Amino acid sequence: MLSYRLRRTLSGLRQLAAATVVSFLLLYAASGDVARNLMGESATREQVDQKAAQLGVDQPVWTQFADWLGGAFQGDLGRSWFTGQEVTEAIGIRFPVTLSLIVGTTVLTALLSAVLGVWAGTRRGGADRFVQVLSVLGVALPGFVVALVLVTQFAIRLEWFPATGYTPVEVSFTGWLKSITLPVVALTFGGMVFVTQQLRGAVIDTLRQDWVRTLRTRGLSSRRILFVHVLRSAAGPAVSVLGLHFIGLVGGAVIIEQVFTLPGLGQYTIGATASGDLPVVMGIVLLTAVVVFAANLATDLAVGWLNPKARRS
Amino acid sequence: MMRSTHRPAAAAGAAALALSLAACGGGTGDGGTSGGGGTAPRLTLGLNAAPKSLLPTVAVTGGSTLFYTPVYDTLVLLGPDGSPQPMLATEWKYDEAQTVLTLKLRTGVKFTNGEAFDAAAAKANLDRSLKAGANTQALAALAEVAAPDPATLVLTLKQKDPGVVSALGTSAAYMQAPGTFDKPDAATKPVGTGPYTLADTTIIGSEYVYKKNPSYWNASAIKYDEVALKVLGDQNAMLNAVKSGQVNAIQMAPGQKDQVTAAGWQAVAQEIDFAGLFLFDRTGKVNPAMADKRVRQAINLAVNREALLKAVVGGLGTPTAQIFNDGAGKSLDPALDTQWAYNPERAKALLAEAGQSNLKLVLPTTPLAKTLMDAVKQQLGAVGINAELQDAGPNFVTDILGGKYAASYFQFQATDPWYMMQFLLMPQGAYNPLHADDPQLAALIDRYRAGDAAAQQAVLKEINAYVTDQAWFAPWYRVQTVWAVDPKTSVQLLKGWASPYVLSFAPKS
Repeated sequence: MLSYRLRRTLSGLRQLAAATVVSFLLLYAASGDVARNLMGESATREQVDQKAAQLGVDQPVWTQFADWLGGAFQGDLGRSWFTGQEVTEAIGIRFPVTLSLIVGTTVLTALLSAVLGVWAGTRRGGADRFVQVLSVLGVALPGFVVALVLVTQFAIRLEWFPATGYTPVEVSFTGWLKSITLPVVALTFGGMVFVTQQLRGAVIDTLRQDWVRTLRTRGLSSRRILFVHVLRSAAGPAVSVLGLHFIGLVGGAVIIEQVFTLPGLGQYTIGATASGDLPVVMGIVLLTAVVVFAANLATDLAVGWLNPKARRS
Repeated sequence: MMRSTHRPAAAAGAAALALSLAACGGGTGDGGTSGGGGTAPRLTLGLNAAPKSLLPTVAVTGGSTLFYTPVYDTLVLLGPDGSPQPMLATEWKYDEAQTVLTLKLRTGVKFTNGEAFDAAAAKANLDRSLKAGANTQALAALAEVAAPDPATLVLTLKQKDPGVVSALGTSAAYMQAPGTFDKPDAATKPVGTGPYTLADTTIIGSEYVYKKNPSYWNASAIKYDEVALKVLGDQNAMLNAVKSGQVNAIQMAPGQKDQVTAAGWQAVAQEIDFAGLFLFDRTGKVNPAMADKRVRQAINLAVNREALLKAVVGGLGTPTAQIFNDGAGKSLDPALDTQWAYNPERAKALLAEAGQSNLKLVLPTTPLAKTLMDAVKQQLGAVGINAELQDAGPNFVTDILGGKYAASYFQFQATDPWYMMQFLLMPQGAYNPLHADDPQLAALIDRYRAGDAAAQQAVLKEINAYVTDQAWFAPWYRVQTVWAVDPKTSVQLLKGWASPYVLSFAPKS
């Protein structure tokens, strides 16, 4: 298990290094005249050049990257070129919003998928058809459409939840819960389809295995067979899909953040990328890479625990 | 779409006179709603976008004024009719030659970090605006700024300039505490003399929260203990915020008017911006054919303005061929609105006359303007102009101001005629990137500069007619800027300005 963890960690670090280098080069290639954007349209060429020198964007790309990397190693991700805000501070404010969304969505997805997947896989018949219909709807309806329906019904008509905005958990727990409920439900609706289907299929397959029949003949209760043996065996693929779903949400929650105007990383990233705010984008890339790495590692470890054969792959 | 950011933002933290009138005066004419006289705990505004930074050196126009003026006062206040009124400067006068402007400053005013506001602080701010940033051109007429005593500021001009006093009511004269100029957190913890301070709960780029400045020099002008500016870039989110009562006022997209008014809100509109093609290459440096005014006139005649207005902004605007308006969003010369009315046959004839029946014209575009520019390309193509659209991406503004293109689409805030002349018509103007210099136009501008108010108004009409005839631009229409307020809130719009001040809002009593 130790060498398995070590291999996964080294692989994650390689991905982290690749992500930062590639992102930096892409940003460098795509960004326009940042100094001009910053100084305004009426600034003279000299003033713009002076600003470019101050930011260091007049330096060769590798010098700029080395400067950024040197700072990052010391925990200094720099300041936004536009707002002047420290990148770590800005991310520190916004990351909890996005994290609330993706963790909330992952937990709700896991719970609902487990219930629906096991229900459909064991009961079959009407229950299975119901889950299939739900799955088709989940795939067919884009998240933002679900979000708009939820807002209209539960925020505007019933006034149970706020239509827009975010309340930090330290300000009010119930306010926080209310502010993330509709976005989390909207994100879960589409995402749970794949996990549910994966689990349903795996449960059906596993229930047909000879060893399950053997367990039954030995007199174990159906409940024990299902929850102790079958679910552990069937959960591996579903956990992998759930891990991928979690990773997808890191970048995929942008539209939902926009619909609910949540001050998360999504909109911040789009704005920073459009304006060429390199320190901000690189800070977000670094954070995202770390989150993806951690999610991958957690998924691999969970799958490895559920299925010891996976540790050898 | 690209929109002008050239114009220094109209400023004002505390509009002693104007706002008292706004709060107590009831009816507010063309652009306002009825006022209220009470106070309320919180005002929440929904806005389309946040400014790049809260530093005065990068402060620009439009809705962003609302983000700066809670914190920064200006030397003068541009009142509801656009005229300069006292603010941090209580009075001002020119010498006989009108090249030395002496201002008396309000005494006893402090920045929110405790620094004293005096002439030295005002000088430091103006000197900085002159040296760098987005406002250098607004103060280009200044030769020297002097502070002979703490309450007196003397501005020496290079020559008589009709725009200097007004410029002191814009972002060029936002007064920031000089002790914070070089602080790394100056943009996130801005310090001014204004009616509010930026609260720690602000999330830069998403929600800006301002708390009342308890020691503001004009405390009675403050109507809300707290002001929140929510950036609701998504139009659906904006409507949802309106319907669920999360905001008190919004800057509205044209298509939302019916839904917003159905929610019991009041919408007030002004036509401020003009949109169209800026025909930069009047001397043919990039595209020699553009030096011929018949070609530029043909481009004007080729576009069906009514159809474009309807397709792009739902008809909420006025088709026009002139760039200037009367300062209140109406046509300066109604006859010029139709001078280049859609006439493809005449456009073809002019092109043939100029020997340019197969003219090729490269136009920059952005993904946001793609639909609009495709329509324009089609219309130009119908008269034989082969328009090639180039996606300029993030370099759009840099490229057009760098003189790369002979013409470009743009939307521009057309408020103060003098600013428009400085930015659009003068050889060194930022939006005259190929430095077209027409002696006849220069003489007219000189006459405008030297004249009194009545003479200026007459010369302005001549300039407008000349620029329209020479087809320096191909304007399509003036666009409505719409504000909507809920039944509990009143707002005083500023004539000709896209954005009111925070202190222009008041709770209805």
